[in-house]
Amino acid sequence: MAKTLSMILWTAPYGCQNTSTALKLARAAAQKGYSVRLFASGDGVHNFTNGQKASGIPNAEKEFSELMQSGLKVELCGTCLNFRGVMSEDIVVGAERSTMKNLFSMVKESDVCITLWA
Amino acid sequence: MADAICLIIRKAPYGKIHAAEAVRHVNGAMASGLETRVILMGDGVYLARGNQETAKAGWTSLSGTLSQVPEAKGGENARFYVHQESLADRGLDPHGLMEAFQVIPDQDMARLVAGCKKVLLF
Repeated sequence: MAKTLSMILWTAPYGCQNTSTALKLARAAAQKGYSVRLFASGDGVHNFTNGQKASGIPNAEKEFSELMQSGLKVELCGTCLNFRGVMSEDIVVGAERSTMKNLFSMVKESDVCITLWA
Repeated sequence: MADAICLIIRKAPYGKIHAAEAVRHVNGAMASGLETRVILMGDGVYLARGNQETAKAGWTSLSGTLSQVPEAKGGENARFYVHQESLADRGLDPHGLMEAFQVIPDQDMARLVAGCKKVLLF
């Protein structure tokens, strides 16, 4: 059974390097055979909204979408989405609205857990 | 203790959202049935001061929320600690902290963190 890497991403996509780090870690871990899961909380949910036009910097929508098609499982804090007025139709395909209970199940079941904060 | 989760809070309340998010996740960890260890260090120690009155500023009082945590679901599985050296660095009186918090020195904190299976940083 593959080991599981879980990441909790708390920051918005273009204010710091955490998104880039999460993308690199997800790719590297998947290549090593890990099952990779990401939970976006707080401003981290903005990584998974539609219509991002960023260039010259990793485009969170585009790159996370590609990783999700390759098996990255993404959950978004539902309370944080509501807090920020992000509607279900604003969220990229594949990212799922989730709960605090699911977050701690993910943490409990993972072999490695990394928090990405500012 | 083997399945304990440790939440380390390093930021002071209200200036940034970290402490508020941490308190929210403390409740989540407890409600999920996890043995929960909360450690305040660095500027996070300011969170342990009681009687934070924030209503006029529009913020929820984190001391008010934290004081209810031991009585909440899963509260019997939660323990709260403050890093002694961080308090001393800031000239804070350990006697002015909320009742639930136990002051611990470097070595005890290190043992506590090492004994937790997962650590979340705030």
